[in-house]
Amino acid sequence: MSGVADAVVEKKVAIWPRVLLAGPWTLVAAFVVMAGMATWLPAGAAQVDNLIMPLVLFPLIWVILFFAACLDANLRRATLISLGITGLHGVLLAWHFLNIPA
Amino acid sequence: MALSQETTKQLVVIHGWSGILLGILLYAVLVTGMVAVFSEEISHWSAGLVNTENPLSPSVAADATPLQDIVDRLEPQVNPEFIEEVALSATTKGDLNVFFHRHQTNDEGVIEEYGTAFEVDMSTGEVLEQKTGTGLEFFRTDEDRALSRFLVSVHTELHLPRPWGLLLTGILGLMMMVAAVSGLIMHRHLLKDIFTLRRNNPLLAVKDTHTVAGSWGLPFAFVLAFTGSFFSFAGSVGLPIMAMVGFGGDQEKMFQVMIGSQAEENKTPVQGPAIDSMLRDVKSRVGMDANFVVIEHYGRADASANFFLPAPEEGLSGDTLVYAGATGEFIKRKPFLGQQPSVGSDLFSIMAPLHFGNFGGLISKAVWFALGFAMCFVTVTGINMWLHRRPGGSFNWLRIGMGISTYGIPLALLGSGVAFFLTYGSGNASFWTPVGFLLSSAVVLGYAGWLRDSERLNHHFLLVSGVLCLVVVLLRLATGGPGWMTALAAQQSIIVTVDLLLMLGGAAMIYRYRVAARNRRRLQNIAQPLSAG
Repeated sequence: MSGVADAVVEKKVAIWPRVLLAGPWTLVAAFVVMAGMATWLPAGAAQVDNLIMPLVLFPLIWVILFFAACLDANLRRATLISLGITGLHGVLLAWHFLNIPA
Repeated sequence: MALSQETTKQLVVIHGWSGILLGILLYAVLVTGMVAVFSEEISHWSAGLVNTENPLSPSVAADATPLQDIVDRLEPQVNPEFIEEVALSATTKGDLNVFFHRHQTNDEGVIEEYGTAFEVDMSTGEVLEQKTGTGLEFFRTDEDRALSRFLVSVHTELHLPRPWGLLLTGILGLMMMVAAVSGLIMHRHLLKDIFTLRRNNPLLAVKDTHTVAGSWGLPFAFVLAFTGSFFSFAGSVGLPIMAMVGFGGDQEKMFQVMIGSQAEENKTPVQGPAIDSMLRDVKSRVGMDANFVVIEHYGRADASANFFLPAPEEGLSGDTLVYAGATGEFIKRKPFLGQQPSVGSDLFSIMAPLHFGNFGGLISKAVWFALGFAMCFVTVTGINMWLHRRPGGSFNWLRIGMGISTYGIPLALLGSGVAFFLTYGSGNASFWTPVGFLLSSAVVLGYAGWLRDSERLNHHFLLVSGVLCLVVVLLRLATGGPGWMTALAAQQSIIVTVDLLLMLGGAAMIYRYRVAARNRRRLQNIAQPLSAG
C-alpha cells in the first residue's frame, strides 16, 4: 500500500518541473526566440520582414515549445532543447546589442 | 501515425486543463468577442446614427465646404507645436474630425498623439466641438461609441488596465490554441466523430455535441486564438521588444520606418495643394474613397499626404496612396507596412480581418458570430463534462462559477446596454456603461448566493435576459433613438435589424423559460404524490 502511495507522491513531485517548463519558462523562451529571430531573419526589400514575421509567429513559437515541453517523455531532453533554442537566441541578441554602433 | 496510449492520455489531460485553468475568463472573452464582431453596427444602432456619410468622400465634399478651407480656417486656432501632423477622419456621427497633433512619449514609454481636435459639421462648416488631449483620450470619451467600446474592451483586455488586461487575454488565446491543437490530435476517429450525435443518452449527447461543434469549429478556433493572442501580445510587449531590437528602443523611428512615408527632411514652409483635389485623384485612381487621411510635416516642403483605403471587396486589407504634400503629385501606392510589398506586411494585414471577420461585409460577420457562438458552447460543455468526471468538493468553486457565468455574463452585458441608454442623453454613458455591467454582475452574484439552486438560477437568468433584450429596444426608442421608418428612410437598416434580432432573441429566451418552468411543475406534480405515498 505504501508503495502505491509513494508512487502517487513521486508522480505529483515529478509533474512540477514539467509544469514550470511548459508554463512560465516557455512564455519567457518564446519572447526570447521572437526577439532573437529578428537578428537572423532577412529584412526583405521592405526592411520589415525580420521584425514583423517573429511578431506574427509568436503564438506559433509558443505552441511548439509548449507541446514539446509537455509531450516529450524525457523531461531532461525537453529541458535541454528548450534551453538550447532560448540560449542560442539569447546569445544572438547579446551579440546584436554589443555590436550596435554608438 | 497513431499516437501511443500514453501520449493520448497526456493530450486529454492538456486539453482539459487548458480549458479549465482560465475557463470562465475565456468564456467571457468569447461571449464579448462574438458580440464585438458587430461593434461598428452596435455603435450606429446604440447611438441612433442616421447620417454616417463619409465626409472624406469627394461627392460629400463637393456639396459642402471644401475640406481645405476648413483645415485652413482651423490651423490659426491651434498651438503651432501641434501642426506637426494633421489627421482627417469621420466621427461616429459622420461629421469631420480634424486632429492637429505632435508625437510624444508618455510616462509609460508609449508613443502617443497629442494635440487639438475639431469636430466639424460638413454641411455648414460649423465647429461642433474643440478639445485638446491625446488621441486615445478622445477615443475613450467618445459617447457615441460608449457601448461598443465597452464590449470590445471586455473582449480585448477584460476591461483591466494596460498591459495586464492584454497579457491576460493573450494567455487566454494561447490556452485556446492549446485546447484546439490537442483536441485535433487526440481524436483517433475525427472523421467519424464529427458526424456522430447520440441522443438516447443525455451524457453522451452532451459529449457528442461538444465534439461535433468543437471539431467543425476547430480551424476557426485556431485562427481566432492565434490572431487574438497575436494582437494581445503584440500590443502589450511585442512591439516594444521589436523596437528595442530593431531601433534601440526608439518606437517613433520604428513607426516611421514601418508606416511613415520617409520623405527627405526639408523644413521650408510651403502652401500645399488642396486636400480635396488629392481626394478626387484617389477616387479616380482606385474607385473608392479614403477613410483616413494623415498629412505628415503639414505645411512643409517635405509634407507627405497618406490616404488610407478600406479593404477592397476582393481583398483582406487596404493599401495607402502616398502624395507629395507640397505639390499634390502622386508618389506611390504602398502596403500597410513598409514602402514595398512584403510577406511581413501581407501577414500583418490579414490578422485583423481573420480575427474580426470584417472582410465580407455582414455575411462574413454573421458567420464569425455563429462560429463564436459555437466556441462559447464548446467551452461551456467542455468545462461541464470535465467537472462531471470529478464529482465532489474539490472543484465546487468552478462548478458554481460556471453555473453563474453561463447565463450571468450575457445578462450583465445586457445590463450595461440598459445603463448606456439611460445615460447616453446626459453625456455620461462612457462612465455608466461599465458601471451598469458591474452593478448587474453584483446583482447576479447576490441572487445566485441567495437562491443556491443552479437549475432555477439558469432559468431565472434566461427570463431576465429575455426581458432585458426587449427593454433595451424600448429604451432606445424611448430615449430619442430613431424609429424604424426614420432609420429605413436614411438607409440605416442595421438599426432595425439589431432591434429585430434583440426582440427575437428575447422572445426565444422567454419561451424557453416558460417551457422549462412547465417541465419543472410537471416533475413536481409527479414527485409530490410519490413523496406523500
